[in-house]
Amino acid sequence: MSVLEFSTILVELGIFMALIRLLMGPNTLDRLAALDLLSFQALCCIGLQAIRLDDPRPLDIGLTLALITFLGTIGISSWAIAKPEVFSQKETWKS
Amino acid sequence: MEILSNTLILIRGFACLSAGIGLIRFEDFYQRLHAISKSATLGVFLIYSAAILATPGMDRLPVLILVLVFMAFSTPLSTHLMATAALKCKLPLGSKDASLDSTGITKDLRKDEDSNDHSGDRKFLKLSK
Repeated sequence: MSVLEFSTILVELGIFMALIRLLMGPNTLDRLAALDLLSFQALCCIGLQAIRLDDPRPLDIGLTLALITFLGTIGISSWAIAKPEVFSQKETWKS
Repeated sequence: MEILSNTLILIRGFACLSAGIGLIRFEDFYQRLHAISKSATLGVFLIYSAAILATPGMDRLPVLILVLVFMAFSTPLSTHLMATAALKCKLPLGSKDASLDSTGITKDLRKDEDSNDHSGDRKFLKLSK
């Protein structure tokens, strides 16, 4: 097993844990944090793919992904700051 | 060159794994924020450096520098905004030992309202005023 495969397994375990937190997070902000981590790990996967293909072109995609993630996180956080009563109420599966 | 890039890839794998474990195991939102912000930034730094070292040609070096500068600015900003939102929404603290004393709103965040335990907090608040 090469270093590349071993590291891919590690980052996939991290993605799996972030997905678990995304499903069971008690609050919307927890889910936001999990989504943030998921996008960072997608960025890491893009870098791994660039190394595996021996081609630096996928690295440009990562720049765009980082920008979009930043905008999304800033947007949802600003929404939570402006209207905290929407986020602090208890969530149920039905609503 | 290849040994260096392999080492960076390996460290990055453990950084991403520790971010995931922190996201699962920590018990309140503030600790989870600590876990994801540091490990994710370290992971992205390492993987881009490793990709530049491993792939042929140095023509993607400006992209590397752009991503590193952008991540170094954006991650603290977004984490700070998320923490501010959590304080506004009054998310509860996980354990009794955790404290956010310097913000002065620790009493509202504690799950168990036991006024005898917070004499130290009040002293701190008086001192700070």
